[in-house]
Amino acid sequence: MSRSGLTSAAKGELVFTSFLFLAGVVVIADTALLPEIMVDTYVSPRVFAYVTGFMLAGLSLFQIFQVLRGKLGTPEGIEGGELSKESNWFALGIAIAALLFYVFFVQLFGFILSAGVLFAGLAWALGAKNKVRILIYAFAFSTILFIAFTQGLQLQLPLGFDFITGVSPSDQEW
Amino acid sequence: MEFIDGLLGSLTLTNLMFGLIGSLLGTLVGVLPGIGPALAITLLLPITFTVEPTSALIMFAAIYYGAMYGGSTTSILLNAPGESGSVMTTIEGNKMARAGKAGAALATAALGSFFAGAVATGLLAVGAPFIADLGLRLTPADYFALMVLALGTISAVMGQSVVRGLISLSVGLAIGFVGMDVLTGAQRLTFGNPLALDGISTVIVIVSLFAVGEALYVAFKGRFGEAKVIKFSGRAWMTKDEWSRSWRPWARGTAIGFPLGVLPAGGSELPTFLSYNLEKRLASRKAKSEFGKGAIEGVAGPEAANNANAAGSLVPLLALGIPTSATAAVMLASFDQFNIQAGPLLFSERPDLVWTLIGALFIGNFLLLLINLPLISVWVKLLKIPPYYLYAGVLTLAMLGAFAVAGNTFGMGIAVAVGILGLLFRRYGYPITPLILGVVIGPMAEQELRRAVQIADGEFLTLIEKPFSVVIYSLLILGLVVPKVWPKIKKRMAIK
Repeated sequence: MSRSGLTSAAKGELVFTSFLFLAGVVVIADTALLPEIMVDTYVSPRVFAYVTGFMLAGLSLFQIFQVLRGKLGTPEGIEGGELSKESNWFALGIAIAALLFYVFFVQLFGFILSAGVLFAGLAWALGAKNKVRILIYAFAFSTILFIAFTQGLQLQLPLGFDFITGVSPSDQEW
Repeated sequence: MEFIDGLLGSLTLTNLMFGLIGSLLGTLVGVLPGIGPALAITLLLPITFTVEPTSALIMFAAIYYGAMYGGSTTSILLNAPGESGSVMTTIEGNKMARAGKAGAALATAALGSFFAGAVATGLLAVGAPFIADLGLRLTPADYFALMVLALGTISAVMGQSVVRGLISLSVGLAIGFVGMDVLTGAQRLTFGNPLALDGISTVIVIVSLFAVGEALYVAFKGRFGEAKVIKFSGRAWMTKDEWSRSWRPWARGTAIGFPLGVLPAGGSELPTFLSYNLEKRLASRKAKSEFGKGAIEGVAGPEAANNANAAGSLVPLLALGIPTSATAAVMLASFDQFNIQAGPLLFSERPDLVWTLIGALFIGNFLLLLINLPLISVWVKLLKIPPYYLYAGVLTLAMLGAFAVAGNTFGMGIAVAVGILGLLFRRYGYPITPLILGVVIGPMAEQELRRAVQIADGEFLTLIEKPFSVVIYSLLILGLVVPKVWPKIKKRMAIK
């Protein structure tokens, strides 16, 4: 099959498989660049890493040719819904944005707000329509989780907004 | 007798309560899409900080069993398998439900799961000590061989092709050795980042692959319409004829499921598939005509195989400390949290814990029957929760877990990155389980390899010196090569 004849699914898989190949090369390079160790051991940390790296790179290379020959992977099914043919980049974007908001702001704005945003963001991305209801569910859920985990399981979750009181959240040790 | 002591030990009020909570949670995650037993147990790992080991392990085991029960409910009523072991149940079970026989399908699934769970837990109680005894006599080289076998076969059976499975495995192995090597201090794949020295937590990997990866994939590729739940208001029970058609498939399903759980055969897909095909082949003429239209044998067999398989996979986990499924891998992680070493010594060092756990499995299995048969209509109502709220809830819980474990932006960033990897694996047809087992077993295997070579004074040939390891490697080669070569040989013989 000529390269121009590849479908967009095949192109996508080609990019992903090449990424896996590169990851294998990175593992090999990282292993090769390990400084010499002073400890006397029969099995150096390189052995396992080289085996893994060459396995990943070699098999991905083989898989690249498989993709070029038209042997594509079948996408996994969707639990509780249907697999759609089109890719929903917009929804994926919202979901990732909601995740990143949580990752970067959970310390600053606290668990309740960040987790609420995460819940609401994903529910919206997946097609929940009623915006008021999304927000109510989202913040009710994050509040219940906060109380259950901090009071019930004695797990520390950030309350956030420490910049108002002036206590740094990073003072807490996990 | 230790087992009786264990059974009585598990009968304390606290343990019973944790067993009940586990059974309810297990059924819940089995019914709900987007969350399975492995993820549920991972999310509950924080309780290991506050709860006693026995109680927590009882709860985790009950979740494992319970998810098998719950998965059949969605398969039958919604035509959507709640977890991978229920795929075969869907074929006949949903047809039965459409033909108005939902009650019988649910009953044969629950009773079959109970029967298989009880028999297989009995086999676990009898067999695991033997295997643990054998385990005590194995050398590090033997353990290394066993781990290679487990990783190899699981990668071979789980994926759409052997190569895809092995690629997934090698990604897992690579993630497994990120960080500082304990023995030598070498920093592998840290790229000079001091935060990466501790390595990537197994919990983060599992949570991200399952919860984050699934949520992103569903956003990217999923479409949710109205759920088409088949109305079911009656009782889950069977007629005399349905009983007599069910018990043999239960027994055969158990006979297939248990040994395949003990061996590293990659979870419940294979045994349920084999059981379904066996029942189809053995069916009487009347039943054979029903296959494809709702044959009760096609529900009874795979459901029993599924539960027996779950019990079987506890044998290598408890007796050898080697997990053979994603859920078993997570349970091993929970042992670690308690500083309990799963493996042959567990039976001599902590017999109380082992036997209480096995006793609790019997009780949990019984509780599950009670929860699932009369209360089935309660679980059915849960199917009406819109999936977008479910996925949002699971993702939020997962990121709570990621924060609790990582505690810093870097760790949570890793969680998102691994989640995106999970999305891509799903999109391009790479299996998840080999990756997880690679992360969990990889470091263990490296350690055994080092021990083995150390004992042999640097002689790598020690790995294939003893008959035991030679047999194991031969099995692995057979397992990898035969499925590929056999069809070709058959074809060639047919041409001649």
